[in-house]
Amino acid sequence: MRSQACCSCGLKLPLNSLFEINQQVYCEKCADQTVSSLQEAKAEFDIARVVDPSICSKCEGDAGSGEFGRVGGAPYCPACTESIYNVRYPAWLMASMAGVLVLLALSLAHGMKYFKAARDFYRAEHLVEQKQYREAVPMLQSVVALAPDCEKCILTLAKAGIFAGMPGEAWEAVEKHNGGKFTEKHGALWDEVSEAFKRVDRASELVAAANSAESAAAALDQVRQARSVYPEWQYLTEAEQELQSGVAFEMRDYDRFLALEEERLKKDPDSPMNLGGMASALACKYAVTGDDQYKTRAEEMLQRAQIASQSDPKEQERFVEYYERIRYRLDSREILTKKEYDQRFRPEQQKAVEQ
Amino acid sequence: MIPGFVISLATFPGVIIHEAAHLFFCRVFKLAVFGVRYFQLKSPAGYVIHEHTEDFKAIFFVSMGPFFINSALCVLFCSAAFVPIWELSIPDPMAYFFGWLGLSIGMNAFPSTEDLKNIWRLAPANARNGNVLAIASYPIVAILYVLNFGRVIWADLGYGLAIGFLGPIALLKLLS
Repeated sequence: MRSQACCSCGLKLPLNSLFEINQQVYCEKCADQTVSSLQEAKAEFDIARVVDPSICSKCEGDAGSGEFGRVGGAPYCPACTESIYNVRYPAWLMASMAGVLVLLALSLAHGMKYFKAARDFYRAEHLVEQKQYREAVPMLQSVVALAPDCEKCILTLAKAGIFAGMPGEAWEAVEKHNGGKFTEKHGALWDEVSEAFKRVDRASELVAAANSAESAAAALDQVRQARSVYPEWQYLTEAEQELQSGVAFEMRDYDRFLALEEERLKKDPDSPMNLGGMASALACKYAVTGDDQYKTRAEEMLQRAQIASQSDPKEQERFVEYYERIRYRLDSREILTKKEYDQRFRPEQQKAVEQ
Repeated sequence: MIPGFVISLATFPGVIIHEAAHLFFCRVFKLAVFGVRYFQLKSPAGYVIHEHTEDFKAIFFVSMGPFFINSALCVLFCSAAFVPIWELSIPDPMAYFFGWLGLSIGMNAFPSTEDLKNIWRLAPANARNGNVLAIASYPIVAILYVLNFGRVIWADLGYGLAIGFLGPIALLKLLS
């Protein structure tokens, strides 16, 4: 340890306890007085603590007559120099950082499903912008399944559903959300969906009118009006084709009836309804011509319709209903409408329909 | 006006991570560390006193390292929070926890004015010598210097929210 005398009071003290003011060395007491007088005189001054190069700044170890190396202007013994260059992370900090990494992994794992859903939502929004509504619907359905309160997602699904010609999916999505009540208005999207639903409602009314129409011709007229209101609805295209066949049947134009049914069957050869329709048209041709090839083909179609309807109970029920009528037509060569057949052979069913 | 120690206490994970990052870069660039405080309930909430250096790369990373680390962690934690809460309206309690953690880290991303001054002092000479890092540091340091003063009007919270919210959204838009 080294010492030096204060230039003011002459007291000899350890170097580390002294101060240097404007290149003069003072003890603490004299340094205070000197600083005060310099401040009063508004004079400029430099002040610094005197450093003893033989005392370590950290452990206060004494180098005796030698000097320690300096780091950042302060002397440090070799052990302390090593420790300040390699400051150890405390155990609690290491544990905390490991905890943060675990939490980070957990948050990423936990948030992955949301991240994927949000990414799918953006992709679906992009598809909707590009008018690829049909591709957007399943994507949005999976998003809404995870986020049932996301009103923007539901409205986008409704929009995609309506414009894809899938109003059932659109309606279901909206209804499932508080019975169709939304807490926020979503600007242009809300307006667009509202307007689109108005078209769906009008088309649905016309379809309902078509269902209760007295003749296929009247029903066809209603369905055509519905198509003009809501042309995206795929069901209306199919309904129109079916009703065109119905009109041909009503007009007893069995050649046209057969041609239309052949066309429908070509589009969807596995549809039980199309197979049934084809069987019906062939049975009509057999009834009016007596040509056995029509009968054979009609029976083949009925067989295929039976197989095709097995997977769907609703289709099975339909098949049972029309199978009886077509079988009667083939056996008797008498062509009856459904209403006539029900009146004659299934009066209870006819009464239920009328009620 | 909310007292500083309350804010520090509410965002303590961010303070600790910031100081730990300072220390990490000091060790990487072999700078002596004279004192470390990871967290305290007074101003400053944490500090690392380290050796001065004329190596621009070292001073840049020691000063700015915590900013980049805290910002990155903020974006990652907030991804698990803002996407479900904000984008999908899913009130997931875990998401709220990760949101708090992410924001507390993001709020403590800013380097201190002392750190920025250190970079600013060395940047001109290094920029003249064609040091790309020094040239790139000008706008970053300038913006952060201004934002640092904006802490009185919650610029740090604003920054946390901005990167915590916009970061994941930008990432999602990029991936979709």
